[in-house]
Formats: sequence, C-alpha cells, structure tokens
Amino acid sequence: MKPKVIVLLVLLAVAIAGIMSTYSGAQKSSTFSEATENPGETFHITGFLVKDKPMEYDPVKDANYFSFYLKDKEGNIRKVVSTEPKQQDFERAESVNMYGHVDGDIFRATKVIPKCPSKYKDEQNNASAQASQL
Amino acid sequence: MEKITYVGENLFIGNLGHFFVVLSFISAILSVIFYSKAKEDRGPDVALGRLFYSIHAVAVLGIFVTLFFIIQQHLFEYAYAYEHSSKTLPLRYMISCFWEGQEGSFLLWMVWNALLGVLLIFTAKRWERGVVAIMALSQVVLSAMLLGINVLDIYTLGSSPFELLRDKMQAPIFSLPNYLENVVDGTGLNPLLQNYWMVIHPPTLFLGFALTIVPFAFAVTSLFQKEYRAWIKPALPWALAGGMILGAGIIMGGFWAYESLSFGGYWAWDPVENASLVPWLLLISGIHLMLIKKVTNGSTIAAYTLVISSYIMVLYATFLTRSGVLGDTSVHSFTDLGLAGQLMQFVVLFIWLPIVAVTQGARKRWYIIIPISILVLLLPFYTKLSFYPLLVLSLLGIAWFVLNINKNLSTNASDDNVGSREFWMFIGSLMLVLSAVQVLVGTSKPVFNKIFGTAMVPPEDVIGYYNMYQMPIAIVIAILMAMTQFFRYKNTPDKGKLAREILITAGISVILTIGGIFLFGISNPLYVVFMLAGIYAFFANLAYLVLYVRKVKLSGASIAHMGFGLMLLGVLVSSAKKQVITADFSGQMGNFDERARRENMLLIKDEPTRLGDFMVTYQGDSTSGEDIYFKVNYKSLDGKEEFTLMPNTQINEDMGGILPNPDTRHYLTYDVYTHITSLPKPLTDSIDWQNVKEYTVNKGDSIVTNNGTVFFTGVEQGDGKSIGLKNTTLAKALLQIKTGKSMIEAAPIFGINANTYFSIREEVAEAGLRFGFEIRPTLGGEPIAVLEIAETTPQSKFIVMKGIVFPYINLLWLGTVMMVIGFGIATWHRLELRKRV
Repeated sequence: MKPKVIVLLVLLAVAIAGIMSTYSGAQKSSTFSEATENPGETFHITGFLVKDKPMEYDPVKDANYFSFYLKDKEGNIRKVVSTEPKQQDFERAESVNMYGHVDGDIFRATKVIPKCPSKYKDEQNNASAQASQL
Repeated sequence: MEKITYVGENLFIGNLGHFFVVLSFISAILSVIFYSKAKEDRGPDVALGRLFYSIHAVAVLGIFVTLFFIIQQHLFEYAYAYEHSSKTLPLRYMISCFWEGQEGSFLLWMVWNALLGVLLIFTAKRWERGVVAIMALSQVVLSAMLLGINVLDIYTLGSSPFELLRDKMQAPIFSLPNYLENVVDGTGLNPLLQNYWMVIHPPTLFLGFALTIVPFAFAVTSLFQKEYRAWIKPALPWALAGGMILGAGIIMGGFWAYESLSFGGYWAWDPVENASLVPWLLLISGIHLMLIKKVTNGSTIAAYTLVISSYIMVLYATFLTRSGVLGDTSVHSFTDLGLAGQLMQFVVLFIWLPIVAVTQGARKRWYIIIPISILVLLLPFYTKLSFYPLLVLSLLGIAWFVLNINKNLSTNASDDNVGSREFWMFIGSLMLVLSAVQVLVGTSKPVFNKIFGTAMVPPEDVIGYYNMYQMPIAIVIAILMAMTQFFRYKNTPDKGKLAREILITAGISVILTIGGIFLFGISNPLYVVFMLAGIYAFFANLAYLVLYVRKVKLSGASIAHMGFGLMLLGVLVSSAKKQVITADFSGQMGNFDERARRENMLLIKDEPTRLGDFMVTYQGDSTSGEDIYFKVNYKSLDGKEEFTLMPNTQINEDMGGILPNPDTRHYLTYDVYTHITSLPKPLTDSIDWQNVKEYTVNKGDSIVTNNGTVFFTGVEQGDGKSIGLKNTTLAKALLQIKTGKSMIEAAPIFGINANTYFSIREEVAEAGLRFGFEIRPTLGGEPIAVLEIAETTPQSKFIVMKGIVFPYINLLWLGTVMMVIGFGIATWHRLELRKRV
C-alpha cells in the first residue's frame, strides 16, 4: 500500500476513536443520589437554590469557603461547599450547574455555574416594567 | 386598532435604511443571475453583473452609514440604538454597537464581502464571472438576514436592524403618541465591549471570515470550468491573507480576554473561540495543500476539500454562535433572533454549491439543483426531523463530489515519495485537520444533544480536556514543521545531507531544551517533549532561514513556522508554570480537600500580605463613573520592584452585580495579573447603631469611643451647591478618627436655608462609627456645636482577590506576531508571483 494511504487510514482511525471516546465518555447530568452511591467520583448536577436555607460566605473568616443548599431534579437537598467566592448575584440564580463529589454529608463542588436570568430578558422586563410605570 | 400618530420619530432614516437593505438584496440576486448567465469573460452579461454588484456594494455601505447615523444621533425610536447604545457612549465605542447585536455583525461581514467583491472585479480577470457570482450569492443570503420581511404571515425572513422599538416591544407606553419623550436613553453597550481591543478585534476577525470565501470561490469556479490547477495561483494570496488576518483576529480576541476578562488566561476553549479556530486550522491546512497542488500537481482532492470546508466551517461557526444552539455553554451569550433556519440554509446551500460545480452536464446539474433548492427553501419550516435526511443527503453529496472529481482527474503519484517535501507537508496538513476535527467535535456537543436528545454536559475542566487531545497533535505538527523544509519537492536528491540537517538541528534543539528545563523549571515528561517540539520548530526553521533563504520575500514560511514554535513555547511555559500567588490555605472553615482550589486571598486595607515574591497591600479605592478602582500595591521582597495595580469592578445590574476587570503589570519575562473576586457587602439600613450620644464640642476636643478616639479639628463653611442645593449654607465638622491602625477622616454636614435646617450623617463602617453634626442656638449666648456619635461593630474594609504570575507570556505574543508577519511576507510574495504571468 502507498505510504500516504497508510497515514490517511491511521489518522482516520485516530479521529474515529477520538470522536467515539468524546461522545461515549462524555459526562451526563446526574443527581445527588447517584453521586452518593459513588463518593469521591465527580458528577455534574443541576439544581435549584434552596432559598430558605442559609447561604454562608464570610471572606473575613475564610475567603475560599462558600456554602449553600441545592435541591436536585429528584428533589433531594444537600449542603454544597465550594472553594470559590460567592458570586455577587448568586441569590438571583434561576438554577445552578455544578461539578463535584460527595464527601460524607456534603457535596464538594469544584466548579459552580449559576444560571442567571439572561441580560436580554432582564432588559425586556425592565423596559416593560418602566413602561408600565409610566 | 386605531392608528396612532406618533410624535418626534424620525421615520425617514429607517425607511432609507430599509430601502438600502432591499436594494442590496435585489441587486445581489441580479448580479448572480447575470454573472452566471455570462458565457464569456467579457460582454454585456458580465457588464451587467458588475453593474449590479457595484449597486449592491453601494447599498451595503448605505445600510452601514444609515445605522451608524441612527446610533450616533441617539434615535432611540429604533430598537437597535435603544438596545445597544446610550447617550453617554463615547464616539470611539459607537462602532462597537455594530457587533453587540447580531444584525450589526452580519452587516459588518457584508461590508467586508462587498469590498472584497469590488477588489475581485478589478483583479480576478478571467475568474471574475465565477468568483464574483459566488461572492454575490453569499451576499444574497446575508442581506436576506437583514430583511425583516414577513412572508405570507407564516415566516419572517431576516431581522431588520431598522426595526422600531415600538414594533419590537409590546408595552403600554407605546399607546402614547409622545412615548418617545419618555425613552430618554438607551440601555447602553455591554461594558465588556467598551475596550480598545474590542474596537479592532471583531472587524479583524470578520475580515478574516470574509476572506475565506475568496479561495472557496476560486476553487468552486475552477470546478465549474474544469481547471483543476490554474486557480491556485490567483487564489493563493487571498488564502494567505485570510490566514494572516483570521489568525490575527483570533489572537486579538485572546489578548482582549487576557487584558479584560477575569478568567485568568487568554484562551478558554470557549465555543465561540473554537468556532473561529476551526476555519483557521482548515485554511492553514488548505494553504499547504494548495502549495502541493501548485508545485507538484498532487493532492487535488485534499486541496479542494480543505479550501471548501474552511469556508463551510465559517458558515457552520456562524450557525453555532448565532442560532442560539450553544445555549449557556459559552460566555459569549447570543440571543436567538429566529434566524436558525436561515443560517441552516446558508450552510446547506454552500455545501451543495461545489457538488453542483463538480457535476458535468447541464441536465445532471438541474437534477441536483432543483431538489436541493426545494430542500433549502423548506429548511426554516421544519426544525427537528430535518437532521437525518440532511445527513444522508450530505453524505451522498460528498460521495458524489469525490467520485466526480476523481473521474475528471489525471492521476498523479509523485507525492507518495517519502523522500519528498510534499509527502510530509501532506501529513502535516492532515494533522491540522485532525486538530480541527477534535475541536469541532468537542464544540458540537450541544448540536449533538439537540439532534439525538442526549444530555451531555461540557467537561468539568474544559481547558484540560482540549489540551489533552491538542498537545500530542501540536507536538507532531511542530516536529513536521521543523523537518519538512529541509526536504525538496518531488524528491530530495542528497539524502545524507538531509539526514545531517535534520539531525543536527534536532541535536541542538535537544541541548536548548535541556537549558530550557532548568531556566523554566519544567519537569513533566510530556511538557518536556512539548517544549522540545516547540524549540525544534523554531530552531530548525531559523537554521533553514539562515542557510537557504536569500531573499526577504521568500522568508514568509520560515518566519511563520518560527513564530508557531515560539508560540507553543510561550503557551507551555506561561500555563504550566503559572503561579497563583493568592493560593491560601489559612482559611478557618473547612477541612481541606486535595482537589479544592483555594485561590482567593482576603486583603484587609493597609495590612501588607505576602503573596509569592511580593508584599501586597490594598490601599483603598476610588470611584470613576460606574467603575470602582481598587489600589493594590505590590512590592517585591528584594525591594527592587514596586508597582500599583488598579483592578476595577463595575456595578452593573444588567450583567448581574459586579463585573470585575483585571489589571496586569507586564515585565519582559513575566506578568503579574490581579482581579477582584469578592467585596464586602454594601452597607445596608439594617445596621444596628448603639450608644447614640451627643457631645458639645469645641475646636481641638477629642472624644474617646469604644472604637477609637475622635478628634474635632474645626468647622468648614460651604455652599449648598456642592451637594445640589440652592440658597443653602453648609457647615462641615472636620473629624479625624484614630482607630487601632489608621487615621480616618469624616465630615458630617449641617445645613441651613431660609426655611429649615437639616443634618447629613456620615457612616464610617471601618471604624464602626456614625456621626451627626448640628449647630444649636442657645438662649442669649453663642451657638454651640453638637456632635452625635453612634457605635456599631467595625466592619473592616477589604477585598478578596486573585493574583496570578504568568511567566514568559511574551514568548506567546512574540510568536503570534512573527506568525502574522510571516503570513504577510508570504502574501506579498504570492501577489508578486501572480503578476508575472
């Protein structure tokens, strides 16, 4: 066989293997119960902020400790601890995406992504709110 | 409904803009028709094609100028001006309003396309009628995006930038004829776009995108005309210029992110970044294959495939970023304007264009054109089930393309010689494709989710995920880049010399790498290999430049390759050895976890803290407009360096609370980067003030409180105008408060006018004190000065920040600049060659 064809086939195989591994190994959104069954393993969890439970961030005590309570899509509530500072408007988050693992009673989040109401929607709301006031 | 006559609107300008949009759309269609009707390079059809293209170009400029006028004149009756600008926006950022909104971005793209088309009319000669027809076709699709016309009440074609605010938003206010008097100001431009780099990055990037259509158009024209080699020569300078400008645009985006976004880096593998990288990688691959085709007449199918797919990927990237399919996976949030269907049409249309071109025979062509046209027209109407038929069709189309082009080609096997330069160039090009495919596959996850209903989430460590795949690919590319120049096209006659050149440069690179290991302190074996590959690419090309290149104009490739090597080295060192100097393991609240990153540090005002090799002190803040600047002083431990960084935050409700902007100190060998991650809670009314006491004071008195000693140093008279009150006299009590560590000043105010008197208290949260001041008349005597003091727990003034030292990041910038220069030289060289027929 021609060397060029061999290289082409090898690269094609690599590409296919890469695509397969990307899509089959990709993380899927999970729940607290699944994460509890596999403590220490990283999971992606989407949930809603439990607004009547305490949210704790006191940078004077510890600038890298932020805790809050999250309810996942199955309705389970857990305390989440993150080492990133609390984002200023965290309370406004509609939902929260996070990565992390279960450690005893708490969920240690390594990445917390609050999903805030979008800017555009806000603007529209503001505009219509302003407008209705007039 | 009753028709309301609105007051104060300037409707003429919007109608004019809309007229230009319709004119640009129709003239582009006519230009396509006449150019494709033309049977020869000159003649009435070509003249008409030119005429309509010129009208189109003028109309596009007309749209641009009209929209700019609307923004510049603050005509907030137009939604675009209301949503993307405000009265306080400086002129230099008004141009940025164009790329905050989607319509403006399409417009920018169209302007570049229009200008490039005019250039091609003058320079493309016998390629003109094909190339400009294809440019015009893309303009048809693009101007349709701006039409905003409702077709038979079932489908809105495009989204007009000249839409009126009252048509776009439903609100009761618009029932008032004089509503415009209440629309005082626009909602303003996203503060992130109010940045110097954001003025030049998007136009550069869009010019790069626009340029990719030119080689595409040459390639497709050549397929129509069955000239599989001659197109390379005129197309090559355009492709190189595209590589240069798209590359520069991408890196400017990286520099902007580094200077003004707070993720702490220049590249985050964000979908929008990836979407611009994929076409660039494919274009670079395509350029190499075009060179092979030009010199040896080999790699024809590969060259066509890559040049075509780089433009298709520009369209796909536009679809990804503009259709809303990415959702919230990107920091660049784009709203869906309902153009997803039209964007899909754009992609499908240009996938099928080369397939039609390669099909020989008018009847066969119509067999393809008719069903595909119907499909394209129907695309916007079905959204979900459209994927499978499209996929099957596209695969059939690609197979048809390969079969047909193969049939028309005379086979040529010279590029299968492992001793030839083109063989290794070909493999390098394939590696670039592999890199592009990996980025594409990773970025397309949201599309995959949408089609197959899966729920894949982005990887936790996005950067690590892409690096894991891209690093080995980059190593192979760099090594190929180092060796390949020493080969000759077709066959390298002196194999011994070739081996010597490759091995000696490799040997010296190994020695340099050993030096690098010590200099940069890198020990991870994969990183060492990566560093070796970067150094080898740099050094081998330097050697080639010195040994063989005798003319400046021939040095483009070597310089670009050297730049790529340096860039890899800079990427490696600045990210592998980046040091988070605010890493803090002193917190009190949790047991630590080895996976937890504790990268934020609390700095209390005036308390120096050691961070890395610096003593860092937060010295206070100052406000300028909406920005609060924090003064952070850095002093190196050896006392040699001292500087102050001013990271700022912007209070912006729309963007959600605080919006931090970093500040960076640049040194030759490292950068110190700082941004704010948290601030004390703003003072609220709910503070519990206790021990409220009144003191009669005379100048020079001091009062001891639980929180420190207060010195009353006198009274200053002032005019009420300073706080916006007329006919008012103010008396300010001048106070100095000595707390444990520092002296703080305060000045509570007492004011009198003809009718009344009042007092303005001052709260000093750091000292936990609140002051009120009053001047009271006494019976028969001199008035007395009364100071009211209340106490609470002092709230220390602090910031929470992240500080990162990036070593040798200048290697990265230097590498990219060299790459751009290399492309520039190569473009110039190919332009000169083209002139020599």
